[in-house]
Amino acid sequence: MMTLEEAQARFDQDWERYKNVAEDTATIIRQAAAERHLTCIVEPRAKAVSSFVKKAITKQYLDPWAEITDKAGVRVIVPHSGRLDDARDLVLESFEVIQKEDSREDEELGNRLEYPRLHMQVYAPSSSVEDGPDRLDCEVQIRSEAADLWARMSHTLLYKPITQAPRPIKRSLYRLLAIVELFDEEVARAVEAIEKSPEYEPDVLLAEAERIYYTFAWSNYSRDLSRLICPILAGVIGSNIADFTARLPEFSDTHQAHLRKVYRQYGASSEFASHGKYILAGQPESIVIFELFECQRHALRQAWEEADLPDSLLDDLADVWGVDA
Amino acid sequence: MSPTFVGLEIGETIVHGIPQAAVRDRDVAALQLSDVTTDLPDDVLGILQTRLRGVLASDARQIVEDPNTRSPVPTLTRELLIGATGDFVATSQKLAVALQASQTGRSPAGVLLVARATYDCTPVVLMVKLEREDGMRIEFVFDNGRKKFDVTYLSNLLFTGKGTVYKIGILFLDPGDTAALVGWAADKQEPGKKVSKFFREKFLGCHYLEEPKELTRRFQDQGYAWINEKVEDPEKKARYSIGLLAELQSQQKAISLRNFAFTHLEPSDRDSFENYMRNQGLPSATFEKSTELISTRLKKVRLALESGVIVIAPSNAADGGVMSISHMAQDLVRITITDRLVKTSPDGTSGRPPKGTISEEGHDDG
Repeated sequence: MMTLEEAQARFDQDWERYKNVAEDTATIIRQAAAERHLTCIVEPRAKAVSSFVKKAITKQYLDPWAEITDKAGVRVIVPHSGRLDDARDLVLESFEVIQKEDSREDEELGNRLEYPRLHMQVYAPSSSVEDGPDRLDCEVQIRSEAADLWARMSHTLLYKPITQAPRPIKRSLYRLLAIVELFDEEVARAVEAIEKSPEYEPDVLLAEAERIYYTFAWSNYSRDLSRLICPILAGVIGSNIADFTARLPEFSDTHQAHLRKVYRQYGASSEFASHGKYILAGQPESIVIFELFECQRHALRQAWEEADLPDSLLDDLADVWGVDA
Repeated sequence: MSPTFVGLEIGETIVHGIPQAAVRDRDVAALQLSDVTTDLPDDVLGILQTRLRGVLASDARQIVEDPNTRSPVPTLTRELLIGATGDFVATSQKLAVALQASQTGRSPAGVLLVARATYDCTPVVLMVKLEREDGMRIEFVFDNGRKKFDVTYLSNLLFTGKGTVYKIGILFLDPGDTAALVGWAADKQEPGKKVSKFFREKFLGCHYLEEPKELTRRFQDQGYAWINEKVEDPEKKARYSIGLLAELQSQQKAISLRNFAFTHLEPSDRDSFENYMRNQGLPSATFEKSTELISTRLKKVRLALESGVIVIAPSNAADGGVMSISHMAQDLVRITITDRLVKTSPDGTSGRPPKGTISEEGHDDG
């Protein structure tokens, strides 16, 4: 057991190490999130020494060193409550977890206004503790964007206020939590419904293709044609749309010189476009087709024929890319 | 080989006329030699590139310089590749003379297009023999205030469509051995996807990097490797094996990974097959079939079963209804043979000749 004075001295001495632990933990979470296509904000921090001391005094800890577990902390903020489990699983699979606190299913929360806690205490990644004999740990908090909005407000005005708010004001602030919870659940419900719609995956594909396309081209394109073709391409890609869209930037980086020339020579601003030649070279989905030319030519051709699209559209693009498709 | 020719970019270009002439009439004066390069507008350049890329993708074979060649083309090509010193116009004229000299008496008149180009930033020399074509143009016009279509006959056309006849040679310095020239050749004119010998050997001074008989053998070896490694369903394994044999035994003079996959494999397996074969170095482009090295392997198909039973059957047994293969539950397969029994012998080695001799059944070119 350490006294507060001893704990303060040790934390002051080890503060840099805890900062590294938080940053390394965040790096691992960011990498794992990217691999799983989980959109999230990851914020690492080492607790300020002054906050450490204040917390120890306020909470009247007998062993502040052991009882203050967020010396290193990482906050993972997901877009809505429907992604909390994904983030939790990510942490469980990426770290050795010391302790897990998930109050979402707590019976007591049924009749209380309080945002559920999803915290995990994890051992630091090995790279962070090479310069010390002991095994440092890090607290990972997971919350939705709406919960984060609430938490930041409540932290300032309710949890650690400079001046205590009068009771009616406190009550009005707590009432906001109901709106936050409602907002979060409605967003999660809407996202789930949108993701189940048949247009969702083709639209995701088009959005990513368009983002890359505009790094090479500067002309508008036919959205009607894209809406016709992208569902076919999504069908060829199958259930791996997220993986495919994630690797599309890499494909674009590898072939950026070719893509730049192709879009300049054959794209929507070229002489050919006015003659109706190489039409797909003026469409963002062309980059998806170029990628499919690499390894899924048969599947693409079959889907194209089944959709009864003109062969010449695909043949022209195959000639541009120099493949026998 | 790269599976895509999008990296082919054409630069400085010149065109020379090559007359049709009997061997005895090879008169250099009959050549229509250009004195200056040909400016290609962007749209012409764009079409030219895509046409060539398309043909190369479907038909190009890798070639390598023949060190014993008497063709001047490798030397002229080096001048263009290495030479800031090389005079592009003069060297291209010599290439036209070389083409005329190497043509057979049957070779039709045409033009030779020579270009300095790049392939993924590597300098290459591009040589294309084209035949002039004819065609018609249709235009919507106003004639005395009335609308109509005018149709005009046009001669001296090039690249009128997919069926256009031309031969392509691309040569560059081997990145691993800059003393040697390597490249691709494609010939849209020759049946069986060969590159005509006069163009490949007499003109370009090259031979195939891998001979058709070697490629055909590798096609068979790697085809069976794919079946055994990637196909789990035993019924499909047997069916694809028979398909591979049928492809090699057919009267088709060329092999195309794409066509094989389309003809013999289920849609879900086609890309897997083609990607596997390409990764094993088989060309994406169609190649000439030669069963010279595997002729004895083509007579029978061999099915080895987990129990140790081995079925060796004539390759046409499945087609003739003697043998049928069907998929049972789990990984089991049922092979049914309906035939007259003419002879039995004590074990599977019966009839095998003593070691050191070769039987029709046991011989394997391995």
